[in-house]
Amino acid sequence: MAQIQPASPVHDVVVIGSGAGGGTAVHTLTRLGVNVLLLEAGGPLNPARDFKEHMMPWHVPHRGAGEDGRYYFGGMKYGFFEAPNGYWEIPGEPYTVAPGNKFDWFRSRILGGRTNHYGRISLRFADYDFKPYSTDGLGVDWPITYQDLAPWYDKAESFIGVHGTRDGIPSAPDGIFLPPPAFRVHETLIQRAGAKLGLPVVAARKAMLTKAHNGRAACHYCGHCGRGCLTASAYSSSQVQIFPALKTGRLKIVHHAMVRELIRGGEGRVTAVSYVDKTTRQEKRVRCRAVVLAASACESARILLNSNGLANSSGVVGRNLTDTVGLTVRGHVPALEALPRYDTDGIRGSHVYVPWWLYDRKNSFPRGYHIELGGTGFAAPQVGSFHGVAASRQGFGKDLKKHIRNDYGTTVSCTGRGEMIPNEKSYCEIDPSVTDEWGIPVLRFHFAWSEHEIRQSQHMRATFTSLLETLGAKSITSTNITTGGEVIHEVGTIRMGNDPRTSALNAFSQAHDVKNLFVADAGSFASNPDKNPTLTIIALAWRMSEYLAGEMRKGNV
Amino acid sequence: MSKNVSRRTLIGTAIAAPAAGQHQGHSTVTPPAAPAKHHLFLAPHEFATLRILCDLILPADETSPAASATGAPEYIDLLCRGNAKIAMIYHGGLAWLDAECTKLHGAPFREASEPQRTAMLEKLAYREQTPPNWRAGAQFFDWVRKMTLDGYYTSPAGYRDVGYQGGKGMTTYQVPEEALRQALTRWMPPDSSPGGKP
Repeated sequence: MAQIQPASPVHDVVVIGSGAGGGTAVHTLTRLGVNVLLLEAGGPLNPARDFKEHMMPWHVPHRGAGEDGRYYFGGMKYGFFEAPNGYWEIPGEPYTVAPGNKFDWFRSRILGGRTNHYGRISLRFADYDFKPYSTDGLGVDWPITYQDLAPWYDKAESFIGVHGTRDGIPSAPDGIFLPPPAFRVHETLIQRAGAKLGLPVVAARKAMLTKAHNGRAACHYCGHCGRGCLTASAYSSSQVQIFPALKTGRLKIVHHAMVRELIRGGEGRVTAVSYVDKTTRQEKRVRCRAVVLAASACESARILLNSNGLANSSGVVGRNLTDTVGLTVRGHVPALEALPRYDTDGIRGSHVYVPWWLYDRKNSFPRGYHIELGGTGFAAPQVGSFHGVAASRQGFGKDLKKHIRNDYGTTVSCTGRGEMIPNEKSYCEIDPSVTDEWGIPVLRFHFAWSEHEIRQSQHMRATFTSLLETLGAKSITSTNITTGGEVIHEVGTIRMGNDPRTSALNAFSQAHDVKNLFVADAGSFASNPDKNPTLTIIALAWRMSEYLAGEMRKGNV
Repeated sequence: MSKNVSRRTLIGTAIAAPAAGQHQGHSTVTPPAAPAKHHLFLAPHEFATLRILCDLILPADETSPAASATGAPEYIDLLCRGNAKIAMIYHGGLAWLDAECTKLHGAPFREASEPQRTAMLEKLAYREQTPPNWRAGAQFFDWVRKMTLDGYYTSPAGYRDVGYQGGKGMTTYQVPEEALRQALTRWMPPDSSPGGKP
């Protein structure tokens, strides 16, 4: 069993996890003079070695299908060249799903976590997003308001760099923006079609630098953002927060550190963190004045649930698990056929989006969604790019080649990203019968969409279909509502609130029960608005870290 | 044009760019794999048949070469080596094709005439023309077709064929007005009133 060496140092703060929340905590705390030990379950990141940016398919013999061809059997959904360093399955680190339920849990094991490859969509929550219960009687209100968080949204955007336009739409509060990139041809078409239907198609808001910013180079528009960005023109916690924090001399990182549990001392405080050193399979402990959990909503809940009921007198840890509601409709747009070719690489994904536009009326479902408008453009072909043409056009020979040239760049898609309301059937708990290869009990997931989300997805399908019809699209197809976890926006499992009986954390993400325990990931969210969570994770973690540093200065922690 | 300078000079990392009129740049960050000699996994007669199939699916035309000139058959062979399920699909499918061809024409597929091969493919390549007892063969053909497309269009020749213009980088992202004008005109004739802001 692990021993605490009497002489082992007591770290000011141990941060567990290095994604958006952990990266922000590390960055903020070290700048405020706090010494931090960062525990990361994955390995170190060396962008020049690890990122596959600027590689072309023919640079590898398997062209991106994987040496074992796993692409053809549903593996590597995002492709070989992307930089997730993990996926929905990690060898040796299983999770289970209760019978009759479906949930997919995406994890990354690398410094920077999922921020190395994520979509960088950066949307502020709206004023009403912090008051869901007051608005419609469902879920709970946040213990903070938009005004409380706004200064940290300002800091987050100013620091990481977010592009966008100030549109004055109440559901999408304006921020501090760099100029947006020009719209691609199909995006302008979508904007015109949207206007006919009353859909406000505006510039996307993403953490991508359209100008040099804070010592980082401007984007060079290669479109490879999901592979990791060598110039750090796309935000990642690793390059933008953790590497600079190392230069302060106040940060130490332990890699391959899989946290088992938090050790409680007297006076209801955490005194140490127990982890498995994956390289030696040895159990180790580090002592600390305070702990910041930032392992991701579910992994942080798992650590708490494996810590003997720590910080869970409310019983909410693991409960209120939500993901984002997703649905995609695609079509072939004849107006885009055989256009003059141009460089559509730009910033990965869309340069436009539609913020929720029906916020001021009663709809067939509560809450709302935004639309991520896409299209292939004249994108760099990858393995799989023309499977759709093969299936729809069939045939072979010179005609097939002509169809491919003709159909290249003509697909337009609308993807909904909507709010799920927490429900009793969606939660994670410890599976008493399974451990991972480190001997740590694993999570078991329960997940169900309610009528609210189903009706919302139907609204998405109808709206997207009519938008595509307005574009003149043919061969319109729709997906079903996504599987829980598929959108990778799992939040809410350690929620904050004013009442210690119904929440685990206070308004500063500090555990009600354990004053030196904080949460910097999306576990703290009291609801899961349609806005992608990362910008709010950063803002909340920044605010929390300043509060924590202040409490340490005052001797309260 | 001046705003569209290649970032090559700006960030010192060339992005491989197969676009027309440009040399095949190499990323200095991730040099291409050395063109090692390909060692066949499939039996020589299997690979010969696969090559013929690939070239029937994507033959040379006025603008671009045939599949066998882009490494598509070798790509498929490589994945047969790497994945037992894919290997089984190709071993079984190629044997099936030869057996059916021998029944119909007295010779394996690679020795059949061009019209005989094409006639067989017509039945395999279109769902509505596939006889019920050829469904397994049609499924095999679906695999060959999609993997041939993959091998072809992930090659420099495939990129040139569809006219991919990216991979060069830009300092400011720009969209040519002519492409937009043409798309708008086609979507909405000039005499109808356009919606939204220009």
